[in-house]
Amino acid sequence: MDARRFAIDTAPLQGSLQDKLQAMSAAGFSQLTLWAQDLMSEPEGGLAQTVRTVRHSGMKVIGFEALRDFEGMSGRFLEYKIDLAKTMMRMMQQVGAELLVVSATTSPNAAGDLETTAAHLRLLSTLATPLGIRIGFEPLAWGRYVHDYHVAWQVVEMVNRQNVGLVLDSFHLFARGIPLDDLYRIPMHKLFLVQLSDAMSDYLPLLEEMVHISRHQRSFPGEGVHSMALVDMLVRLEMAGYQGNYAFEVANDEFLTQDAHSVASRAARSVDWLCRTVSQRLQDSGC
Amino acid sequence: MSDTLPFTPLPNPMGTDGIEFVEFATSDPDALGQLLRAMGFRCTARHRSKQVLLYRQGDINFIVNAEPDSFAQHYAQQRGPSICAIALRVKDARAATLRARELGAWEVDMGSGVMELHIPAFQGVGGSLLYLVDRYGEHSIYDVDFLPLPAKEENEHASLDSIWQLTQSVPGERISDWQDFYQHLFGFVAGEEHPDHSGVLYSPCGKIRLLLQATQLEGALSEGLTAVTLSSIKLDHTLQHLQQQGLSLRQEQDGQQLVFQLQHATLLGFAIRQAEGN
Repeated sequence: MDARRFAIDTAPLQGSLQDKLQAMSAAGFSQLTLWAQDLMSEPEGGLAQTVRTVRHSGMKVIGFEALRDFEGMSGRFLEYKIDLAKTMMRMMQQVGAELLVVSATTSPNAAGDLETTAAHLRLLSTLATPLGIRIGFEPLAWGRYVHDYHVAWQVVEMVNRQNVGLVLDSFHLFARGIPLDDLYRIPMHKLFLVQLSDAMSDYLPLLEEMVHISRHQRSFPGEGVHSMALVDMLVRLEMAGYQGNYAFEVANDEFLTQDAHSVASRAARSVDWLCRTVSQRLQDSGC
Repeated sequence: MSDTLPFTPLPNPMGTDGIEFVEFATSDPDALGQLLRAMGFRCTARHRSKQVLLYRQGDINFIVNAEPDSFAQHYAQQRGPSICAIALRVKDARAATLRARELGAWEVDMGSGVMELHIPAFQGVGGSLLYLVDRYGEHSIYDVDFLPLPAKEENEHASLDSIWQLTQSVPGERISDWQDFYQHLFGFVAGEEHPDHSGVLYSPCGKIRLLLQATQLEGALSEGLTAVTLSSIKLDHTLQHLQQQGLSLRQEQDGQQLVFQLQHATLLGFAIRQAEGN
């Protein structure tokens, strides 16, 4: 496996955007996933300054996060969300980001029928096309209607647009104990990004616990209880022909008390471990 | 005509009815104007308040925009002389605009001056604009925004009659994104796909033909409307006229048809072919 397919998210790193990018780069990463709020984080110089920071870093932004609670809205809520989506897409264009991560809605105000979900993703697809942006729909463990990759894939198929695909986050799959047996059924070119993280505990019966651990206690692959499950997931994806990127989507409060460089190095060690272990497993199975 | 068609008309949710105009951005309007005149166009009107000229021939309207500090100038600075906008004729611009908005078209506020028409505009390919126009035919947008120029020009028309095809160039992997875009928004349908993965889209009204062509270019300027193919109702006359005007042509075979590419200095493509049914 090629380590260059791995990206790291800004979330686990402490400091200014520039600090984060430097730490990633120093640890050997050349790609990252970025949050809209990262670009609004500069007190002086604003958006123009953060855009310059990203451009000058030479790092490639492979995912832009996250448009939430979009689909299923109506009336002025939908209008507001469309404006937000446009703002994000303009930012993406400036930093050269191609993939907008759209996470399945959690809103009680959202309509849940899949037809509406598909129609609203088509709307995003049309908005995105002139800007060369792709839309990645991501099921969430606590998504209101879409919390499983089977349903998310069904939606993407209904959408039936070239620039709309799937984003999968290992945490959300494992938190619900969703079997990975059907992953290979997804045409791998429609899987736009795979986000990876480990976790410190496995059994998450309560939604609140899931959300809490997801937002505060994730860790890098190889550091927690999901290590071997992650290896298994990557082996499945690689064998199914996935050629896209992996991004470490790791939010952890403790990381934020540490130096960005040491956390980024930890991430790099994790990439190294994953690449070696997965390659070995692929070799063993004759691939 | 439509009742003689052997098949059911396609659903036409936007009410498209052809191309009203193609707008060219250039910082050298004289050079482009000279080329258009040599092709048999007449400059028939100029904009009331802007450095914008209207060239016409047959049912073809070409707008040459050289207004300083405008969107078009910015476009021309980046790309040289190029197509910066097209206007589609629609039955009801208001209804079409509402629908486009609803489906995720990116509306662009182009502003409009005093006494000028507001023409709804949407983001098209490569930063170009897609206008929707429902004033065409007897009462046109030019009646309002343009002043007619006296017909002092003696230049002869060249039997060019209509726009047969627009060419949109995009990187190969983006062709299907754009197919989706035109299908979703305008109800265009895909025609034959060529072996080189370029593809043709037709509007449901049957009057707009769009060739999506793969380009080798990369980066911000890789996408755009790069060529326009015109139909001649009398090809012999057109070719003779263009040659007399000192324009050279390169002959190409496109399926059963001959297409003549105009050889000139800019990257902007013009081509001529025989009108169908002649």
